Amino acid sequence: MNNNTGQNTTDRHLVDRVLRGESNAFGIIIKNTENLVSKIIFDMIINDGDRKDIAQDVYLKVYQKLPGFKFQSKLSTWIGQICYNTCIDHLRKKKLVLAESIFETETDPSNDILDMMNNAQGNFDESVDTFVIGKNISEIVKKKIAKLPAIYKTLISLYHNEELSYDEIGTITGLPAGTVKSYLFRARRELKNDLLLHYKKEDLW
Amino acid sequence: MVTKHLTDDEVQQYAVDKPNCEIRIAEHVHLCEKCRTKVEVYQLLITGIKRQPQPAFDFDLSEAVLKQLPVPKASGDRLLTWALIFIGVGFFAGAAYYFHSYLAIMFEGVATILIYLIVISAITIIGGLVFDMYKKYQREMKVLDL
Repeated sequence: MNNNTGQNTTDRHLVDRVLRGESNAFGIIIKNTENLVSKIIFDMIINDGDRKDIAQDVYLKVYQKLPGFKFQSKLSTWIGQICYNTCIDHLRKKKLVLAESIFETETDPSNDILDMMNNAQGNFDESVDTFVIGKNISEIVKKKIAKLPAIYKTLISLYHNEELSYDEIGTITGLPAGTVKSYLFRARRELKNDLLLHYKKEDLW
Repeated sequence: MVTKHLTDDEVQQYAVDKPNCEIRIAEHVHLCEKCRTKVEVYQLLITGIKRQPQPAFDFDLSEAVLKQLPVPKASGDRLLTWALIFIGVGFFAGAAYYFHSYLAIMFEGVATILIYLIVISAITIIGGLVFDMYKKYQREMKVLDL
């Protein structure tokens, strides 16, 4: 609560300075929110050149719209929303797929695989430890995340890396908090199944 | 305690947010090896997600953006604009006051229908211009819009 209030005061102070014409204050806003913006852009846009253009475009929009910002959300959340929408517009213009229906087939091989793993190796706990030591888990997960549709990648990043709440993610993406939660469950399930299939192929058999 | 195995959503709830998880779920995980294994797989996955490096641009974003910001208009410009408007309005008001008797005579000879025609034409043209400006403004806002 206090953190939020403190953050809000800082945001107001920075916005006031920008509106008075201090461009350095806008530089501070960019530095404060660059991580969030880059996370969204890297998750949603594949082309490196497009990413650079979009990042600059996002902050130019923020600058133009700043006089209309009413502090109904955190400044970072509002900037995240502008960034997300800019990415969506870009994907629409390029006619790229936003959320392929990869989750339509609700096959869940995890139970079978877990059973097989338990049968094959006796104690799965040990095998999990072996996987962590034997493989660089972040590298493997990175490849699996890269296969997810843009929107699911973004939700996973915002929730697990940026540690935003369902409501904040909902504000950024324009999705109801319940839908955000549901998509996150589905995305994690898909990643888990993919991960288990990966281990089945590479480590057990 | 839950005697049936946990659903995938319940397993995820426990793996993602253990402190706020329902007690019955926590109790089941504690006692059921199979569900505990499932939780461990999710925890492994979440560890992998959290270890993802922060993506970064290979250029100074702040510098690139600040270079493109419009230069704020000097307050002198605004003052000059208002002074010109004031002088302009004053000039026309003064002219209207000074020549008002001539203006009345000027319109005496013109037929009422012609006056209506002029007024309607003027309103139509002004209306069209305002509409066009509004459409243009909307188009520009749409480009900038969220």
